[in-house]
Amino acid sequence: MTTQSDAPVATLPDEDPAPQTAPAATESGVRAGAEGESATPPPPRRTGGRLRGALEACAWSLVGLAVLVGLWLWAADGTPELPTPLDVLGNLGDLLSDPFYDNGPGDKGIGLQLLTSLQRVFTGFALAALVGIPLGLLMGGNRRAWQAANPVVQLLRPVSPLAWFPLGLVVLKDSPQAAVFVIFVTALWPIVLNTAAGAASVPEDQRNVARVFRFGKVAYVRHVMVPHSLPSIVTGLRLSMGIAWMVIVAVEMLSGSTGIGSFVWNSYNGGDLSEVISAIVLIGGVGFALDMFFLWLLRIVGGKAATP
Amino acid sequence: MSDLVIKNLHKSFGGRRGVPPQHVLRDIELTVKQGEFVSLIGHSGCGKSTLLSIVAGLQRADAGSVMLGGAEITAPGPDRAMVFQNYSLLPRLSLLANVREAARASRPDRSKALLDEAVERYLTAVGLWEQRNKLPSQVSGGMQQRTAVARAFAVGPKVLLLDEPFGALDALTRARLQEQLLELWSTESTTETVLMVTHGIDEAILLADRIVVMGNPPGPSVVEVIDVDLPRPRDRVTVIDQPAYRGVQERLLALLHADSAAAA
Repeated sequence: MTTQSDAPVATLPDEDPAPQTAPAATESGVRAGAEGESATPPPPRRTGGRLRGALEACAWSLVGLAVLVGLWLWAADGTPELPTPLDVLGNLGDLLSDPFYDNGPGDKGIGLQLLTSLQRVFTGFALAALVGIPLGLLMGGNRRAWQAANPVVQLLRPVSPLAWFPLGLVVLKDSPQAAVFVIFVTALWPIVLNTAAGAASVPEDQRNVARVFRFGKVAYVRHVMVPHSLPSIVTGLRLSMGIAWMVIVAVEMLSGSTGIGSFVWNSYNGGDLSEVISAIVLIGGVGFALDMFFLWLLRIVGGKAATP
Repeated sequence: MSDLVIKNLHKSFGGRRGVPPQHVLRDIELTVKQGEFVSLIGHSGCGKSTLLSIVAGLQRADAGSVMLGGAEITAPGPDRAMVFQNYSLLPRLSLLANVREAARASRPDRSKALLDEAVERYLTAVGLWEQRNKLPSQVSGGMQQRTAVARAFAVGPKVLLLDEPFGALDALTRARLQEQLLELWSTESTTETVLMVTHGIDEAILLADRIVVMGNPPGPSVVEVIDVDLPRPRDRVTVIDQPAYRGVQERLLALLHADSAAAA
């Protein structure tokens, strides 16, 4: 849970694209690029270079995977209980050959287990967004709201979300619902803090525009604050989703019966480590896909994700 | 009459923890008559932008008053609109939405139809109606600033406040915008009074009826007010041949040079 210590990530969108000193041609509506493109075709090396870059990236990721598998083989060599990659591949094939079978509460296909967990994560996550985004906007836009809410947020944020599980159980009297509650708490803090950071960083000149033209509260939130905060909000959602997907496994190991977490736990109790590792691979894959989605969303709203 | 009357205006910044306060504006007395185009000129730090900002209602003065048409200015109002130095369009609204939302927010008393008509008229006047659905980042700096000019006029203010509006633009674009501004001011709009902060001596002479030369501390804030006695419409090519042009230009150069020498 160390990743939860993520402080609000300040994602400042490029507010002021550098003043374009456009030539007079652009001024009068003539596309400067149009003639330029037809006159000089793009250098052919560039596309080749991009393709080569992609292939190179692929090659390096294969190297990384190979190192992982090598380490695994080496570890399995010394520990007879540990299944080999081939064992796991076989098991994965079995699991995925019929992922959606349902033989009653204790015996469901891996696909159904994943869907159950995803549904819980989405529910908790959606509730957290519903509460967290408005709260974050309020905190970022109003000093008193910030002063009131920030100590509470800072006090509760470092708590492992699992600590909320007993409370959820007592209040909701239902362990799947308590799991959703835990996800809600998990997802709340990054959303609140990132939204607040975004809302608090509206540039002075945009605030002056809003004041000179006497934007009301609604117009200010709609046309200035939310558009400016969008990249920060999406960054908060992305962090939240990442942590929520990690936490759901732990919660379901506690709550039992259904979901991918309980699947892992049941496999372990049944002595089937191949199945545990298969589940780990699938959990990782789903998490990766979720993150890709939010990265895509971030690009849509004009934010930037940090990559070396 | 909607004269803009500035009396005994003082403004200082800082002055805490051993740092001496910066007396940015020192006892400013200035009356801008209805229908006048007045330029504020001076070196960086002379407080010309602060003065504009106080007239806009974005900042409060420490002492003194600014009255417009007999009412004291304490906050932004629809009787004043501003064009900012760095375009300051809202980056995620189209050019049209930038103008429209500002007009609607500023003029809740006017009907949407009336406002939309004004929005279209001014965007057309600055030649951007065809481009209205583009985002600010998709057009040039000159187009962004023309949008900002249209936005200010669409509010229908009595007083237009311009804070170095053309400073970041190249010379050709600046010349065209100056002409568009004069045309809007003199014909299209109900806006009669203009207060413009500028760095450019030639821009000030070309546009203004009077030029207020402002100085750095410790001297007086308003060093001199120069009348520009040149007939309108002024043509940027022929105006420089008039004797009055040379006179004003030399006087401005002398004053600004003296001030920078005193500050150094």
